[in-house]
Amino acid sequence: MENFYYFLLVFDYFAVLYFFLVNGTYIFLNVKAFFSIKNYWTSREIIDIENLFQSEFYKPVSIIIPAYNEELTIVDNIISILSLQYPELEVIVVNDGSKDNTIEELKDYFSLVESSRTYRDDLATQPVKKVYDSLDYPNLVVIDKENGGKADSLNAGINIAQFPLVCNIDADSLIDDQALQKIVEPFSRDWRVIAAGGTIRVANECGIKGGQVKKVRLSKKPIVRFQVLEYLRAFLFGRVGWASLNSLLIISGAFGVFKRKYLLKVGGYSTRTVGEDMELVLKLNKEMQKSDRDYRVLFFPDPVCWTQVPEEIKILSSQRRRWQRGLGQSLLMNKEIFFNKNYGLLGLFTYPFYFFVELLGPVIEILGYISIILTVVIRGRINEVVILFFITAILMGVLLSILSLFFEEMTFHKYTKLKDKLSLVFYAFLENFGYRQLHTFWRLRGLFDLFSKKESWGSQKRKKFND
Amino acid sequence: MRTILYYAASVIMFLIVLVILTIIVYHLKNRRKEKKYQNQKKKWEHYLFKYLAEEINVEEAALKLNSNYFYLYDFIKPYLKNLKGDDFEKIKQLVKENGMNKFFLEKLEQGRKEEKIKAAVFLGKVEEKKALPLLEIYLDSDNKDLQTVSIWAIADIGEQRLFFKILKIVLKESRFTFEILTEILIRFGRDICGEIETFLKENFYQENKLEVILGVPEYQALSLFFDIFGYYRYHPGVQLMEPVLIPEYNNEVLIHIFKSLVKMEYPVDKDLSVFLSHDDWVVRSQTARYIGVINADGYLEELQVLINDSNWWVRYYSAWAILKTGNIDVLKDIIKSEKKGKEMSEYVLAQNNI
Amino acid sequence: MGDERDYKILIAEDDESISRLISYKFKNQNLESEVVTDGDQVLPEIEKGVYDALILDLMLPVLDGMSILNKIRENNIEIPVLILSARSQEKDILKALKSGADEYLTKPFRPEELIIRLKMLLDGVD
Repeated sequence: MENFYYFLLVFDYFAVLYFFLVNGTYIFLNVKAFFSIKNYWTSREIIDIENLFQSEFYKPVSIIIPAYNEELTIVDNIISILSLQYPELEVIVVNDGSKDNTIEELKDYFSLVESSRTYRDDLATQPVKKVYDSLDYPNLVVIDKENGGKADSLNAGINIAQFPLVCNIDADSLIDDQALQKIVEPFSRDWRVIAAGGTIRVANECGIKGGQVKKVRLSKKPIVRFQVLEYLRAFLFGRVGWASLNSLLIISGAFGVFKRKYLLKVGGYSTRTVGEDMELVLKLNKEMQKSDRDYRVLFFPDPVCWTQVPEEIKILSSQRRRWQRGLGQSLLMNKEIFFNKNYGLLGLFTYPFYFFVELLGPVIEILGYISIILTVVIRGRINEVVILFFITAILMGVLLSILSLFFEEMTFHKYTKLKDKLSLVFYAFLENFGYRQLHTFWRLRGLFDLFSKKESWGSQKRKKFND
Repeated sequence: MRTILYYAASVIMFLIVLVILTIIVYHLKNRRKEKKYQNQKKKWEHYLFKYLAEEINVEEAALKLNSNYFYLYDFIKPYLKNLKGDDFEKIKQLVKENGMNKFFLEKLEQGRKEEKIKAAVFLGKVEEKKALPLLEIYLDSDNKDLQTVSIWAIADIGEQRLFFKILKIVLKESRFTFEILTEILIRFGRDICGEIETFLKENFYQENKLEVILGVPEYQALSLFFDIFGYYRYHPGVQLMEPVLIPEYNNEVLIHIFKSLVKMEYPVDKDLSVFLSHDDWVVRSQTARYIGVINADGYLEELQVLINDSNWWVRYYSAWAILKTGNIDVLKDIIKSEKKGKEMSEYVLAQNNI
Repeated sequence: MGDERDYKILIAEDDESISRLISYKFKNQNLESEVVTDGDQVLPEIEKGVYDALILDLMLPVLDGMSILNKIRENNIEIPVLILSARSQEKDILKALKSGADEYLTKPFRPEELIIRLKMLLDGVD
């Protein structure tokens, strides 16, 4: 028994060390993100985006929208994307063998006719049944193909895209009016840029009109508020921070822009993982490393994509399980980056950090909880150090959350009411009691799934955006 | 361990409180500022409109719009962007009179980095030549943002004297892509075409000289120049394109020449067949397009072959050129006799509502 | 022109600084005007039948100017349309004129020119 207790003690020390390492990194990322956002703000002043895109010198963009059983929302969403303020874009909708009336809705509304375009299959995909043009919108193309999953649909879209830049947008997401211009502009300013991601925000309860978020409102549902915090943290300091270290590992599948050339080079999105968005960025890094060409993968806090997040525990939990599994698959599929000095910081630090903290974190966290419980059981009372550690850990989490609230306040302040801001601060405390543990549990299950392999699109109940 | 944790927790707690307070203070401050700005904006707008309608003179307007220059700058931005002619000149006069130019000239010299950048943008927009000496110095700045903003400002002011200096900087030092390079350079105005013409006449026909002077391969520099000629439809530039309009020359340049010629709708006295059979599909498609634009005779046979090209764009522009050169019957024949190229012929006819 | 009765103009423009300036200048010319900022507000407003002309920006939020123009012409609404847009490329101008726009002015613009062109359009209608 004494030995076991000794083991627990060692584990506690290890936990404390782990804790300081992880949070030290987070604090560091925070500081980097702070300066990065500040710089970004200044550099926005330099180039007058609107004017730039009204001249004839811009990069035309192909937007790919994969759609699977989206009959309720697909038409509205495509109309809103077609009316984005961008001088030259084509919209490619890929119907991934939907079982509902998605394709009929499209045919009907957009007066689709068989296309004169020849479909190239640079990237292998499930068979394409037909390609359609729209009589009303010359820049709309619809691909109707056999079901093959999201990655497969994106690949079919990449195949047919005519323009050098490709943008992927989820069928259930909304893009801010100028977001496309903002995210494309860096591709002109710096030839090294091969990919760029934008921020995802929570659209639940927001006032939406004509496919645009007009009024940002904070949902009253706790489950949504927790996610609002998560998204702010993940994007405002996580991604901004990593990108400023030039080692961004993920561009969200919901909103990202890529140079088509390189997508083809790496063989497009992988259909072997549910985390195809992350896997792609890792693969791009590998490819660029091989080719010796200087490159950048950027992230911007300002171009915003709004998305409906799950409001039901069951759906949220399966989403997070899927994310965790995708994370694991992507990391394992690109394991040659792990501690590889050729990849610089990305290989020596970022990848290992993702591996030990983002992927295995839940294991360590759960072990931590178990060790505390065991200590109490064995010793009959709780150690003061353990309590202190517990409190410090919670406070640290809170600090990180409210720092991203502070960034938000400093820059974008989309939530205008003080009440909402303070309520989010309150939720930053609250999430540590229950939600956080639940989240850890979901991620742990995702980790288990990773080894008991299951493949699916993962269904998310669609809600019609309120008009 | 206990003490460390105790301290850590206290420090974090302190930071949390600090951040929360900062958020609240920020919120209140922002709201007050916003309110103040909205009020001021209303007042400013009233007097600006009166001034632009010549109901009050510039001195009177300057007295009403003479404080909070950074806000004033935000206020005035949309007018600078959207107006030209008399109204634009009036605003230029106003910002001279109300001390705004002086204020931003000082900021350009002594401000913080963000202030310098704002100042440069503003002074460029109002074409304040007094800013030039400082902007010229900043062209050599190590700070990329400051350098970039100075380039834009000088281009906005249109100071031709600095054109070649900027050209060298953007070509050698910046990571700008072609699109943005062209965008910057055309801001100097149409007169720049004459400068480029003289420059090319002096330096082009000597081996490698362009590369030595500009620090980039000849084909890049030429593509850029020809783009600018095209944008301004500068016909005298065509004589400079002709010597390199040969199939063996760099594809990139050929493509830019054809794109330029398309914009100018200017016929060149050359046999274009060789470009219709060029290896590069972009050259083929742009040539076909050009033939359609200038309505050139004598390529019908070649175009009929290209309507079956392996590339969609070549097929498209060939069909389009056949239509534009008045050979609609040829397309109809192709459709009737079910020959290859039927689909594209149908597409082009449908697209043109025929 | 215009002396016998006041004309009423609808301005569809998302930059309010500019639309207010235009309104102000119009007032001095005895032209009455209303402003809308979102694309989807234009058609319902026009269908009221009280407007003598429409000034239309092409880059409008929610519904873009070209779609609005097409709908106006599809529905056979007889209203002179003057496009006021920052898009200055020939292909954009041609496209708009082909789709039934009566005038096309590029931004940056001269308000005085806008007024003259508009008056010419209105005279044409009378």
